[in-house]
Amino acid sequence: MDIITTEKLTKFYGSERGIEGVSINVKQGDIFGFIGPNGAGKSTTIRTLLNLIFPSSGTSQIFGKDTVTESAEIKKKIGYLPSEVNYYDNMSVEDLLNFSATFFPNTDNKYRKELCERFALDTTREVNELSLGNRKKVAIVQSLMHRPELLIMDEPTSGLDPLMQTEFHQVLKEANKDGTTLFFSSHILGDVQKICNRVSIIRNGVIEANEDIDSLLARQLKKVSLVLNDDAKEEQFAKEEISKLNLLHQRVSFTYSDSPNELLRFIAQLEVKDLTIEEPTLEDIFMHYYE
Amino acid sequence: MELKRNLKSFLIWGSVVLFITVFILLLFLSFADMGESMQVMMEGMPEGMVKGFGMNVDIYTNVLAYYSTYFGLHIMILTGIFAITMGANILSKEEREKTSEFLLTRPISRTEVINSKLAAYFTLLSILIVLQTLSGYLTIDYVSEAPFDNGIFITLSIYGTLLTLLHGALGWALSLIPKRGKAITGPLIGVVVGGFVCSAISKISEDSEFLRWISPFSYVSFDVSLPNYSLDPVTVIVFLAIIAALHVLVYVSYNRRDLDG
Repeated sequence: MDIITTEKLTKFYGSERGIEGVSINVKQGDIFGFIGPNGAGKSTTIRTLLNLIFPSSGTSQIFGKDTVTESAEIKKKIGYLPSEVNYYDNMSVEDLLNFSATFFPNTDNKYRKELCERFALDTTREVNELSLGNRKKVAIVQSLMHRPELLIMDEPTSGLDPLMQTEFHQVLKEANKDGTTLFFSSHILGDVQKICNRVSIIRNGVIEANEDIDSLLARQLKKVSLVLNDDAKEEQFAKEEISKLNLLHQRVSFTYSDSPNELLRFIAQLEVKDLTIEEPTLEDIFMHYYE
Repeated sequence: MELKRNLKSFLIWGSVVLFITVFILLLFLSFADMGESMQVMMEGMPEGMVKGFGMNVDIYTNVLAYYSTYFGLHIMILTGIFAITMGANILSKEEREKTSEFLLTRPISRTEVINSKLAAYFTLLSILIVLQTLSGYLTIDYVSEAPFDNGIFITLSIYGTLLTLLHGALGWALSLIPKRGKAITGPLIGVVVGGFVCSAISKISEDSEFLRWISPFSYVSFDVSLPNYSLDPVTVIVFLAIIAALHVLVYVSYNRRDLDG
């Protein structure tokens, strides 16, 4: 079953482009990553899906319902985790969660308590005295406690320390197993690779690719830096799999696009003093595959 | 929830308005003792000033004339500012503090958001108007030796209520002009006081007659000394229509606008 479908969704702010012709499709049970650099249109898409802003053209449905005309109905069954968390003044964490629960009759109080404990939240504190990371945790509990069928997250891990990120990924996996479809935006490829099964890549307001994570991983791209014993010669590296080659005496750097096994075999022929193999950045992937 | 959030400002404004109503009326007692001499003084005042401030020649001998002078100026400006700032802030405050994102991602429609905000706004504003009117009536009853004309008092109060509601509706409408992150209290006070000043100037000088048109103050009369001072049904209907239209505009516009962010 389709949970989210968008059809040529377009948003212009005056003459400035937000997104153009965005068509994506999220299926039930997906952990869907929406990736792209800052300013690519990730938040614009999410805000349009939530009807915080209105599309200039195109349509979108969640649970088969129109996101503009049936927004209130849709929101009964979704949770939203914003990138920047802003809450009312003079409210404790407890008050805020209670206030949010008044909108969702199906709030699971046992689960709510469990989440607060897992994220080590002090619910007696004032929300606006909390640090960024702690406010994010409140938002996480708030977005999950009514066990939504769809959880929409905008840059969910920003502000969380690594320990909490791991816990958060665990919570997400469990929720997904219990039937929650997950949709989240990120500019960090690692985040996406860790938990997603499908991704859409957006850049400059336009969808560049809709892919399974497996096919994305299959196009393995590594950034390799070497220091050789002798000066490097260009012909040593004249291979189809090698691009963006940079030579400076004994130092060599390039991106390699084949299986890790092939890469290791290739390096094994060289006299290597030092070696670094890195994950490519999202921008590297764009440069390599989408230009 | 909404009531609680606005309670503090309501208590402050409410007590100021009540205090002024009662205090000014009690002052009448001492003026009335000086009756004759005060009237002589009033007659000596420049005509423009008397007109501009809506003063009445027999302001210090007739309690309703006295009340209407202060009602038409101090009370109207105070309740006007209260209504316009509350109307302007109750919705836009959420957007300014970015809590609207939280609110609008709950399963409620934008119409429901305005409904609940309007309910809170009308509740507080009604309490303020009712208390002001009651305290005015009771105090007049207390200080007045002779019986006074209830009809005139009711007309004054209805005009006052309309003017206050109009200012409130203006506040609501102005709050939807997108102006992200800016508090607009200053300009709002300007609208109320400016409206009064325009109306006052237009009364003093013939040349500035045009100012009359732009000020809501010009369309209601607080001059109870006019021979047949009574409620004008056309004025009432026009005021109600404008107030209703502004509120409808708020619903329509809020249901179509993009949230800042």
